[in-house]
Amino acid sequence: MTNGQDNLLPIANVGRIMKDGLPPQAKISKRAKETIQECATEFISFVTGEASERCRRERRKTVNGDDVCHAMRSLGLDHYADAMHRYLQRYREGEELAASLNSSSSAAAAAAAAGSRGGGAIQIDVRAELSIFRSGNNQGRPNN
Amino acid sequence: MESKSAYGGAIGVWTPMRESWGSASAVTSARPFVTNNVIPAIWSRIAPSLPPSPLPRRPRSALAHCRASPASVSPSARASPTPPSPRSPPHQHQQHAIQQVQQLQQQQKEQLQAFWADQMAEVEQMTEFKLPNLPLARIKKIMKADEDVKMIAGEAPALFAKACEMFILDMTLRSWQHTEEGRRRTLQRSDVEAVIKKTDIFDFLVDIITDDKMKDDGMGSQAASMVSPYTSGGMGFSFDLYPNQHHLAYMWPPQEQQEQWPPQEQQEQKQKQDSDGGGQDE
Repeated sequence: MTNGQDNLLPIANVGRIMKDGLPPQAKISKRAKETIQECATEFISFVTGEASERCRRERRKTVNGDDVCHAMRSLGLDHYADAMHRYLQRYREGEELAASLNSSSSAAAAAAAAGSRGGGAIQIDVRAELSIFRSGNNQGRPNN
Repeated sequence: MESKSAYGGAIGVWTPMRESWGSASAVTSARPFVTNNVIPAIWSRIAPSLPPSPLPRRPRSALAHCRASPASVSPSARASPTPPSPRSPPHQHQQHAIQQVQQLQQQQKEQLQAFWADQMAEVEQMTEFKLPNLPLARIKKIMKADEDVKMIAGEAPALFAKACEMFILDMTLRSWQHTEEGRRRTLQRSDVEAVIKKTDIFDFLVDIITDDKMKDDGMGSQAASMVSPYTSGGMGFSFDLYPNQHHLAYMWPPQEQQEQWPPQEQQEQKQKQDSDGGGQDE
């Protein structure tokens, strides 16, 4: 983890986000930015480790968004889990919308390839069902 | 009354009662008196013993854990009490200090609640084309540092970009609360350390502040390498890779302690120290 700056989040981005969260007259010392930089990086590693452990138990190889949300819930980060669960739903809505737009535009472009595009549509439906299934599984009572 | 007269007829049976009561008229009134007195006594006993129906409470340990966190704030808050003035009695002064601490804790709690409400609102209003505030490739690299991680779905780094932004804002807000408790205007590393120590969900960060203290001994080369980019950059992060960054604004309640802010001379001294030491002095 201490391999240098390459394995840390960029301190410029961290500093900018910190300034956004404080009143205008506030000042931030350089060492405080560095500490938050390391903490945020450790946050990613900590949650990733928990998500990876869940994947290993369920014999899956790909860490997905649900694993990340579930890991945050398990680690007591309830506010983050609630926000990320909703963020993941919105993210997937955006992806499906983009995919459907691409599919419709491609279908309009070439009529001969409509058959294969139809196959793509079927795939989209499968992903939508899978997403709904996963969201159904993870929809527990929100803890505020 | 007829039944009573019938009982009165049997004078032989009631003779000792007459003698105990002392008069014949007392015997007549004694019976209804006893019958009337017993029932109210019974009711008076039953009425207060009825337990009030308790409100249904949710036995969630998570909520208890969350609510327990404000309690951990009080030790650090009380660690910096106001020096007692010789004029006011100590008892009144203690009560006043306790009220101030409670008000401060309530304000801090409300700030954090407002922060999370803003975050949830932002998630609902987000647009799909918004650029992340943190680079996804770097996040993926950090995730890959874990040897157990084999494959990462595309949505995971995007999720972490948002989660890290919330984490940085959360840590910064809590650290700033500690800065304000010390009546300062510059967020220091010690403020971040205090937040890590007193917040349960940040226990996984305890090793970072410990390791960094050990690293302080051998920071010569790192400090030398770090000085040049800051000097060339002029301490201004002009590198603007993410121009569509969303700007968050908070409604900061007026702090009573700000009225007791140190005079301008001390501020100037602090600014000089910051410019000289660059925040290295804690």
